[in-house]
Amino acid sequence: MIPAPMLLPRFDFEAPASIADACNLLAQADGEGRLMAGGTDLLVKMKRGTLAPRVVISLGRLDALTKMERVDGSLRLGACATMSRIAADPEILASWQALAEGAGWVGGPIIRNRATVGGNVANARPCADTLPPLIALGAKLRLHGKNGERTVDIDGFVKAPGHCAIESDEILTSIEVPAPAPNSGSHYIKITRRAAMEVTIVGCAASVVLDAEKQRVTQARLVYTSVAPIPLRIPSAEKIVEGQLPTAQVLEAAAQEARRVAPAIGDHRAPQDYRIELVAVTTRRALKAAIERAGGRVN
Amino acid sequence: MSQRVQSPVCGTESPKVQAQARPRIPKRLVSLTVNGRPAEIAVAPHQTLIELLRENLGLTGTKHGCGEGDCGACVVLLDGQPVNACLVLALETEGRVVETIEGVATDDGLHPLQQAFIEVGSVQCGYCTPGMVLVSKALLARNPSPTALDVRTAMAGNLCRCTGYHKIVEGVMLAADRMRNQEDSDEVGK
Repeated sequence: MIPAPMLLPRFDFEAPASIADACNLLAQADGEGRLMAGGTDLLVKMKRGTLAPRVVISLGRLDALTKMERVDGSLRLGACATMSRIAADPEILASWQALAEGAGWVGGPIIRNRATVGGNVANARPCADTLPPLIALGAKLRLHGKNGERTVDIDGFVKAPGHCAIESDEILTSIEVPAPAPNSGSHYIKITRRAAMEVTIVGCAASVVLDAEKQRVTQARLVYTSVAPIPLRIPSAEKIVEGQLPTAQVLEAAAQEARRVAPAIGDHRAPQDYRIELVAVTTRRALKAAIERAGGRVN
Repeated sequence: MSQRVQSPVCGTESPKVQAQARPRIPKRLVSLTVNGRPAEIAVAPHQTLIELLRENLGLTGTKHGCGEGDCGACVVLLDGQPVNACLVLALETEGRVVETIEGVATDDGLHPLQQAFIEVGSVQCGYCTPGMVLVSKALLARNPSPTALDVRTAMAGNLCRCTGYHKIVEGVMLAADRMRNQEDSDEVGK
């Protein structure tokens, strides 16, 4: 006999065959419906009793949502592309390294066979591992609703833990990551106690673009997870690197600026002081790796 | 010094939702293939794949551990990929192919992984074994020559609380060795 708390509560189940049907079902559910992609987070919350939707709307029959394709150099990820596929995709590993790394850090290998990138984004957890890389790489989100579709910037999409700027009848259907600029590179670092099945203590994604000589940094993005209640960008640290030759001193200055301004949280995973220290360390390391991947050198 | 917020946010739980008394939802038929055999079963929407396997089909080789995808005891292959059967709804498996530990051995005998697990002593209490065997089977299908690290990485979602993993890794390596040799001799025989 399976122990009672591990059983799911009752709910109705729909598996629409089109995005339009899914939007309509979501609207009809009147706030009591939940979309399910991989289910690795939703079903756990339902078993624990922290969520109890009246109807679960599975996206499992929408094959279009599992596509991963190149469109004019940019990358279009269906919202239901699994973390396993993203982490192992040769093109993503070559051109959007931080994204492959972020996806490869989610949960463990078995979870990654089910967990989806759209779920990770729309769940809007403070510790999401694909949000910092996607923000650092300038991704855009495609949302489908009852009355049409729209595209929004991923930067600013998450409003609060578990809440994002999406309407109650809208579905996140795809994520578009721009083509990498020439001489660009990215890296995602996750600090945890174990190498798998862990929630991030601090995660840092860095992406950089170098000039034609691969000398100066022309653009830098630094985005952190598990540091604030929502993904955190630190523009003042980015500005320290931009326009500069990336010396060890410049990277250290950026790390100290990030340490200074990061509104780091403290919780049962790590105290505030430790997180603040990690913000500096991960900033330095992620920037260095991103610069080297872009073909530059840190002196 | 900027303002720092002291609030725990990661992994904190929202308050428990009041469990509403809901009407019983009628069962629906789901058609899937389990261990090579087609099955058509009436299930309720809230039933998970592990419940379908254990309770409807009597395939109790798949073990229920944490129920949250943390331990890997309930791993089955869904279209060839390892998944936690506790986090898949039964209705989601419509038209799909499921392989459980009961489907690993053939009429010719045990699978090389099973044979190696027995010989090496990769099994103590046995509760994690079905998941370990299935994860290893999927690994060897895509990488016939794994390193010990490859094996450990593939098993990062499977907990064993008896063996300390060494013997399990040894068992997988031995099975991989034998399967490669078998393939080589099959080639020669052609």
